[in-house]
Amino acid sequence: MRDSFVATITDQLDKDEQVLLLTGDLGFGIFNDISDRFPERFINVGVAEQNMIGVGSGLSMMGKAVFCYSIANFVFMRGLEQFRNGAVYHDTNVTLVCSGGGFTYGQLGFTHFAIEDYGIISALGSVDIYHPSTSDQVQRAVEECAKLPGPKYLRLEKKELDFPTLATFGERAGLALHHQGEQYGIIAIGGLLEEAMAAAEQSNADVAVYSLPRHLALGDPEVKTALSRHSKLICIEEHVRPNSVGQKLQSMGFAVDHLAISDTGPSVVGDQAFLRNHYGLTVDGLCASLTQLDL
Amino acid sequence: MKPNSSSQELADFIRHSVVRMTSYGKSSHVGSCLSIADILAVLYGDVLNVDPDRADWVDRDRFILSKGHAGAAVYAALAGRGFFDESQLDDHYINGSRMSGHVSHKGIAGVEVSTGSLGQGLSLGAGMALASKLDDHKRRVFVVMSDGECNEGSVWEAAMFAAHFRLSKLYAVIDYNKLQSIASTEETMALEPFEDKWRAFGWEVRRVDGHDHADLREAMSEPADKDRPVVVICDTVKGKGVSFMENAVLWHYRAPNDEERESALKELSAS
Repeated sequence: MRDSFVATITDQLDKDEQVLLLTGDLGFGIFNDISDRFPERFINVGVAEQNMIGVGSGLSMMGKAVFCYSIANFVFMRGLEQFRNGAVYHDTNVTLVCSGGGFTYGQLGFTHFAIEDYGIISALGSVDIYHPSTSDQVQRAVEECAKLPGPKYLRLEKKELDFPTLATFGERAGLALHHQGEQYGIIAIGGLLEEAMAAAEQSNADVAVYSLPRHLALGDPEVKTALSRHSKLICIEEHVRPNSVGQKLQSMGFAVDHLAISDTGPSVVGDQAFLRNHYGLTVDGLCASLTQLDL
Repeated sequence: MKPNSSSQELADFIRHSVVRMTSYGKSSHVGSCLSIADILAVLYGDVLNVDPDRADWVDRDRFILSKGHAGAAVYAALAGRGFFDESQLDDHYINGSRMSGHVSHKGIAGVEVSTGSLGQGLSLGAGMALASKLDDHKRRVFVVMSDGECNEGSVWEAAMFAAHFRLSKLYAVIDYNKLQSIASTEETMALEPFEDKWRAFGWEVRRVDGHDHADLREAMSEPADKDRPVVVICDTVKGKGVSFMENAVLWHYRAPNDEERESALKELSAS
């Protein structure tokens, strides 16, 4: 997803002089072209995320469209108060770009997990949260973040996925259908769409598969109607349960089998696939859930 | 207040107003407000390029009160300059009003930014100054900070940033009254050598008497000597103008009761 992000933000910087990209001294090698082409609007603020988000808020109050890029926890936690009091309270155009959602940086250890991110950010209320699954969704998200007013949060993982979209529901394609089915529906957040598509293929169940590129789509009546045609839902996400998508679906009245991080995070080391397996966020986990629903 | 009042008249108006506001509203921080009354009076009276009739005029200078707890003083300065009617000050701290204790931009003409969490204003100001620089605009950005606020690490992140990006239109104005929430700045977390710290971070340092209007006017008006941001360290007295409030931490918290309010107003009127 990072490649899609870099390609699209390059395009936005080229099209619109009000767009700026700030980084907290991360993104080695990937921003070389941007740095060469837009030296005044690509700003490395150093290892200073609080200041990055404060500066970003100040820039946005002057009409700039600002992207603040860093790894996972550094961008959604370290400067959270600056984001809340700045861009969110003043309703200005700052996008926090979280590179490394979920367990993307799993082997680096607990400090580098982004497993509470959109739960925390969504508690701020008015932030438009994007957790795209496919490369096309990343592109769309970046274009919208540059163009639309208000604060946003963009969660990126590593792998580029390219599953076709069969239909979309809700404002700005907030819910996307990738696999047809009637009886059940799987809602996969971010890169877990790959596991969900494989599970739908392997299982004999009559199951639809969706991604949810826009978090706020959960409050969209059209999205609710689309999901209501399924007797049961499975939600799979690389996120702790509190304030998760699955929990919100349950609070909306849906019957949901929720595959998520069941505790506060692992104390073992492992890559993203290993840690997904640790919590059953896998094809096997989804197939087992589908079998259970059929019983 | 008359539109063409002097900075001294504006300072007097701010002092009278904040004593009334904190007393009737039963709010804290009257000492902090009195400490920056002269700084605000000179800024709003003589320095800031702003227009009360066009609060959102795009070319205006920007002002941020990073020590948001002295919001009553900013409200008073704005009312004194005619951004809104003086009667609105009576709403301070009242249930249902917009005049919060920490300065708020929502529904109050002339307030750029809501603050209240220390250590955040300088980054905002740096962002505004950077935006102006990118747009090749000559507007200036002023950030009034407290001394205790400089305990915050984020202040020094912003200080490094502003110097690195040569934001010479950015002015940090520090209310150096040497008292913070519990004790003196030196007892709490020593700031000295304060000037040297800012110089080491790449700033042009100016030191003034924070109650001398001529000195303040010059220090906050003169452009930067070189391509560096400017810090104006203002030696101030917390509670300045009311003898029983001066240099007393108590008035960081306590609201003047009826007797104290009248006594303070009498003293202010006599001076």
